[in-house]
Amino acid sequence: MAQEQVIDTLQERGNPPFLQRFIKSTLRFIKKKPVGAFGALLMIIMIFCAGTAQWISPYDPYQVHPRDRITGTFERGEDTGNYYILGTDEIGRDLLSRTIYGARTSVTVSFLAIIIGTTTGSVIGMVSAFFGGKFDLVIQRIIDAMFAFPLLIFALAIVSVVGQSMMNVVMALAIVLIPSVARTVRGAALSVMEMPYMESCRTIGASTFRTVALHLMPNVTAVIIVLASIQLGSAIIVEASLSFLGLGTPPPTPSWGAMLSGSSRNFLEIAPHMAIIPGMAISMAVLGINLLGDAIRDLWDPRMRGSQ
Amino acid sequence: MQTYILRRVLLMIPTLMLVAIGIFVLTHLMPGDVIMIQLEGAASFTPEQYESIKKELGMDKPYIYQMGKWLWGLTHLDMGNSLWNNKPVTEEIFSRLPTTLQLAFMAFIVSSVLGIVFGVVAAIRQDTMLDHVTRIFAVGGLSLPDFWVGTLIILLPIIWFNWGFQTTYADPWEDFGRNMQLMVPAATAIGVRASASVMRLTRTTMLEVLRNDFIRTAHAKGLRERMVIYRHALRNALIPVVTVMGTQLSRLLGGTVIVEMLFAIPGVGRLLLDSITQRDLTQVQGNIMVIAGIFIMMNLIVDISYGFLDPRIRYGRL
Repeated sequence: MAQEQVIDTLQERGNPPFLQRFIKSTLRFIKKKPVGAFGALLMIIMIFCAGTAQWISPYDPYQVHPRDRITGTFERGEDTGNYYILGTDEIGRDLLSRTIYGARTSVTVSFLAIIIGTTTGSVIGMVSAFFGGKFDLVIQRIIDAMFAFPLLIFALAIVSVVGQSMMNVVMALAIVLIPSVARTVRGAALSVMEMPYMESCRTIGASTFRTVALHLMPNVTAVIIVLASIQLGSAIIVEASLSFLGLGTPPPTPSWGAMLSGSSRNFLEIAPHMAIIPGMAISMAVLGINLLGDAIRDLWDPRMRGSQ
Repeated sequence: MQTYILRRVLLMIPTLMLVAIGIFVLTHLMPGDVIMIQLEGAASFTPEQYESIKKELGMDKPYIYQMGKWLWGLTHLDMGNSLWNNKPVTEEIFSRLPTTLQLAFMAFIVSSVLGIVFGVVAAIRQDTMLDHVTRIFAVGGLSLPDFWVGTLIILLPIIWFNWGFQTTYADPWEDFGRNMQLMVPAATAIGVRASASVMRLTRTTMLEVLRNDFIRTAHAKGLRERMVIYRHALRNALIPVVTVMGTQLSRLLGGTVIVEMLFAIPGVGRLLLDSITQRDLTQVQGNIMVIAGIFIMMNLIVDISYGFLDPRIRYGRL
């Protein structure tokens, strides 16, 4: 009994509870990178909206209120008497609810694409650096060719061929992100390959998988995470651009890009809020991820460490 | 320098070929049946219709034959006929190409002039109000998608002055004034976001260069401030900036598609979108090929200008 207590207190002393550590490191981050923390706050708001959309949105985003068309901001609908904080669109759907649900689309698509794209790209980059030689050369030429497509055009091309659906958009974005990830990770992995410990691995006869997964990968993880956080911004923009062009997640699923295009263009004069609200949402989301990404890069990227 | 340029031009050929193969793989081997997408518009279709479209697209032949045909066609700029109006794909593209090139070129000017001028000014007047405003703009500008900037450019005059841009395109050779009325705001919409990263980098590299010994020497021998900045500081600071401008090209070309739609400009990007909605596969294929080709060419120009700016690269083993 007494022994257990001693072990308990020892554990507590050496290892403060998770929450306490978390709060401490959060406070340190805020103090060190206030702008990055602001970006993180914007991201948290966006992810919170995405996760709890069905509980926090005041109305059903698909519900059409035919007689409450184009209600201004902070106005009551003429017919139903609903209070629309951000007004309604041309067929009377609540814009606040649609913006909140739009966050869900944006977060789902861009995060999934980043996870798939970064993982695939990193594996390609690491394997290419590890094996080198002809294999590396062939992979690099293919990556070069993939670089010859502007991001958005590449995504457009893929979606136009495979057809429009949320999963296809995710796949298109993931493929588009692969080349830059693969190239950067390959560069980082090449410098790790020069390290003495990689030679030691080979000397003790470690298997390829073991060397790559246990020794190469952990040493390029920082680069991968920094890269992913920077790419997330362009993933959100390309997703929005695709839906703006009418080739993203198909309607009626609320999506910020789609809200900005189509019918809202015809009502610019009388109802500018229909375009301004989704536009602001996209800008805030991308601003948040850019600020956070910069902070993460400053803190984690070995090349940036100590430079500022 | 000639050998350097020649090497780069020759290296372009295998890339272009890989791109062509890539487009072929994309349109023919990706999951998703292109013929089904073609037929999606029709209410119903028979197996015969399916077969006839397959034949029209040449998809009944083996892949290797189709690929050979596509690649051979490319060598003499034949990309097949449009499924929509049966005209050669290249004809339509080349008639619209000048418009897109004009737009991209103007956007490039907007982004580099805005980026370099404000970047240099922010670096020279470090930690003043001007510097702070520029930096906020640079971070904010990166977060504004092209279509949102474009929308604001259309929207704000309507809200503030109750005046909107006229949105009919005019050929620059016929009515230059009207052409500019549409192209200037369009180019600005693309250029603003691209200028943000140029601005940020120009400021950083300028600050680094200005701390160098040779700048102090230049000041010490009594050169005028203007001379020091243009002749000595800027030339050295521009090298990394040019590289970033090269990476911005992707954004510029992607931007042309969006802005051409937004401002109703009849360019290649607009054609690409139209042919996607018309399910005109050969036209889409040709358009993507041409845009990728322009992109590779622009990158080449950036690479070569890099050689002009930094003599070390010319003599290096690049």
